[in-house]
Amino acid sequence: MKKILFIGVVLLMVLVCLPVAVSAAPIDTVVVNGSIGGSLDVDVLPNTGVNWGTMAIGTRTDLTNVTLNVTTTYPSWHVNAEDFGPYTGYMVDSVAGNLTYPFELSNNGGDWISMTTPFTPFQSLGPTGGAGSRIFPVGLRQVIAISDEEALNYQITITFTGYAG
Amino acid sequence: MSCTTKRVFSLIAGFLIIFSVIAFPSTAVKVEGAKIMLDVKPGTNYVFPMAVSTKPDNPPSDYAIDVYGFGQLAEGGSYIPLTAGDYAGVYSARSFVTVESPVIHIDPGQRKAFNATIKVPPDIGEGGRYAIIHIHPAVIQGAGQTGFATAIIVPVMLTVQDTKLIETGTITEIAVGDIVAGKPITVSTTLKNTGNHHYYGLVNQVNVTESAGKSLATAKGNPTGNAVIPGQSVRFDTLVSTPLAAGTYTIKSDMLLASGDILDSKTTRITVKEAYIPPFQQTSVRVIPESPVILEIPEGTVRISFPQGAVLAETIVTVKPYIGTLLNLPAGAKAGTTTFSVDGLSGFLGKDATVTVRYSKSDLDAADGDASKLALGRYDRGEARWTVLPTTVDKEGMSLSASTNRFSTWVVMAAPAGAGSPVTGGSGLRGLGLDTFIVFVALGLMIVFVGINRSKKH
Repeated sequence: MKKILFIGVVLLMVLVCLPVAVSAAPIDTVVVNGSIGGSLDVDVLPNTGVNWGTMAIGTRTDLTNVTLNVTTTYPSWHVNAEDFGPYTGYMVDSVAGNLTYPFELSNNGGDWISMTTPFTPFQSLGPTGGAGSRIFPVGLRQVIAISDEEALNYQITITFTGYAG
Repeated sequence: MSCTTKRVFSLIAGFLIIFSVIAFPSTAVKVEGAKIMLDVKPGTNYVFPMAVSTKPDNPPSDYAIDVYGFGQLAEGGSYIPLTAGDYAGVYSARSFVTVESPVIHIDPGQRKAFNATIKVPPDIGEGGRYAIIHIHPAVIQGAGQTGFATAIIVPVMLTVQDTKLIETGTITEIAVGDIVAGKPITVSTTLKNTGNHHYYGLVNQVNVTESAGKSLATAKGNPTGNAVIPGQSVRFDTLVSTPLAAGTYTIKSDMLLASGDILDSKTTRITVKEAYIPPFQQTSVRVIPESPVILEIPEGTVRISFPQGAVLAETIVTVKPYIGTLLNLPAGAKAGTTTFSVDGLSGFLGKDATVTVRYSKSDLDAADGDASKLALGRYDRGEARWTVLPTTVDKEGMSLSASTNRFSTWVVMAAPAGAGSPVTGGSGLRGLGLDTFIVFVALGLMIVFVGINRSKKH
């Protein structure tokens, strides 16, 4: 009985020590920095989104209420805007379907860009001088055609994705 | 408690449960450690600390953290994640990078720290290795009819220490855009990184030479701030604005590194069918209330005359060419090529300014050669529509003029009959501006009311 216990303990020790011996030898682990380096903060306001009420024929436009706020320590950054929904670029109602015309975005009073493709870059700064806090107006526009069903629940979500260059 | 009260409480409880279950993505996200750029040793593990946080007024959110291959869009080189199905290339570090948890739940204002671990294989090879950590909302649909969500792409750029770094590239395409008077000529050069390491600060330098070999112009694009990753192709646009007579020209594109070294060069030939007139120079002037001021660009294409008292305070006003797309022109209108924007004036003028624009042959072409169809169009941002202004056409001087009390983007357009009451013939005649029209209507109404009042007194 003692022999079995002794062999078991030895085997256990070998099993515990062996992987450490094998793996520890050739691989170093480096922890990069004690503190975290640069940061990138992308903030779109208002966080409640924009509501236009019942979507009936005409054009809904918002040029003043939405802002993109970027705060970063990196000298170069970019923010892209994209719709990842199933009807890329179109406002959709679960009953009425999608609107005829695509949803459009504009940057700081610039061209209206259809969101059927990614808006890249929606905004960028660099390769130097991009660090700090900045605010950019975001324009929204939706044209509703005569053939579109009047409904309240058309929806679209635009994702603003930032990265340091 | 009555049955009705119970029902009401049940309904309220039901709504509260539903609202507590609905989760919207956060409209604000902050990532610390948002770029991983390391010199790495083969056979070494690296632990890179990171953190994700949101703002106190954001809803509780789940953020997914995925590791992808490093992709780039050809247009401008924007970084994009390459999913598992996409081939990430021989320089991919996707398989080396792991994060502690694929999803992080963040309560309002909370900060969650985590580590990205990079296990560098002993046989990694030479040059650079690349991946992307994509931190994005686990739920797509945002609050409101137009909802917003935010995400961060963390580029992972590893350089293997003590190995040979090859920074080479090949121009795979050079294309020249449409040659239109008043618009810059776009030379698009696509460069593929054929080396084993990324590079920053690439510039597309374009040289235009005439058939006899004489250099006419050199233009440089701006560096984008994006790196070009090995195996990726990125397009660099450079705008050329130099007058060209009809003829054949050679366009040479040099792709320069930040050091000034040329990565690659390529040439193409273009034929200019009719003389090319470049866009005018941006011009500014200080407008003051005390005296009249004239803003005129050196080429004479645009002239704005501000009368005394047009502004209430000293203002810098700038005219510059507008090179964007003109959307939603009035029905039946056709844009010419002369477009410009006037910046620096946000409200209405105290007194109308007069805008005079010299129209080009291309503008005239838009009106099928009939100058009387030409008018000045002004985009009114607040109403998100174009206003065709009553315009005086001076055929001899090839100019258009109109009065305005506000400024934004302007275009010379061929307007449908009556759209802006265009006046043909020599100079001196003016159409009625809408605002003047309103003033006359108001005056008319006032006279009528005064008349009625007087008749009652008598």
